[in-house]
Amino acid sequence: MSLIVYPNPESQLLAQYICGDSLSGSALADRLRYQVFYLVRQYTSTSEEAEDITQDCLLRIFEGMSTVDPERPLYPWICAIARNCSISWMRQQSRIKSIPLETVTETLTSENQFDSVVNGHIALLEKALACLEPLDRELLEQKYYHELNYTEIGAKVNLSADCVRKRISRALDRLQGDRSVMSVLEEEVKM
Amino acid sequence: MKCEQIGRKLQSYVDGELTDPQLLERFEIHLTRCESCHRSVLARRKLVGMLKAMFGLQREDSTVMTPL
Repeated sequence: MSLIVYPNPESQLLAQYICGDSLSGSALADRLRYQVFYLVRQYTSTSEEAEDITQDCLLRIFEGMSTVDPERPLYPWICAIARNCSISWMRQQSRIKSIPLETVTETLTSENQFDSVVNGHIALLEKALACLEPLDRELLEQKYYHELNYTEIGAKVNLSADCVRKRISRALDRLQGDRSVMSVLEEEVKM
Repeated sequence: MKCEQIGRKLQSYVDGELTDPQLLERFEIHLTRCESCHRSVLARRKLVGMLKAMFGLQREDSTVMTPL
């Protein structure tokens, strides 16, 4: 019997869901909700709109899951769906949205303010990330963007899997301990 | 299970690496009873979600996305 090592827990849940485990599907939706929400928020002017698009994205993700190979990185595919759903939504909005001329400035200002808040969150995280050692930043990117497991990352940077795990955990602790990032996390933790 | 033990296992839990069923059960029972640890798990998941979004957005312009 061969043991399949999945690149991340989401991929493992996906494989279990494809095999008919509906509980894994629910757990997967819970895990993906945060990631998708943050991606689509970049395109929306309110968090309510982002939540609606997030639901739409999750539906499309689940519809397309039978075509996905769980052993390949899942995140680029999810990014593409989130982006496409958001762009479709923006096009739809631009067709149906009519703003009275007298409130154009006010509306645009409010949307720009929201964009600033979201971009501000990402900027805070980037700033906190910049305070980490370059190797820790690289490890986080390999883990959470390229979705490599600890052993694969270790092979790339010439460290043991256990050492990679500890460094990533400490790096996340440092990010979470950053006062600015902490305030964003506390603000958003209700989602 | 005590809060300190939860803190030590937090990352493994968020990464889905707590595979020992008994340990996982004790961990999750603690989360249902301890608001502070529950919030720590939510915050860590949120942080990981933000990181993924940030890395994804940074590469959005330079990566060709797979069409649906």
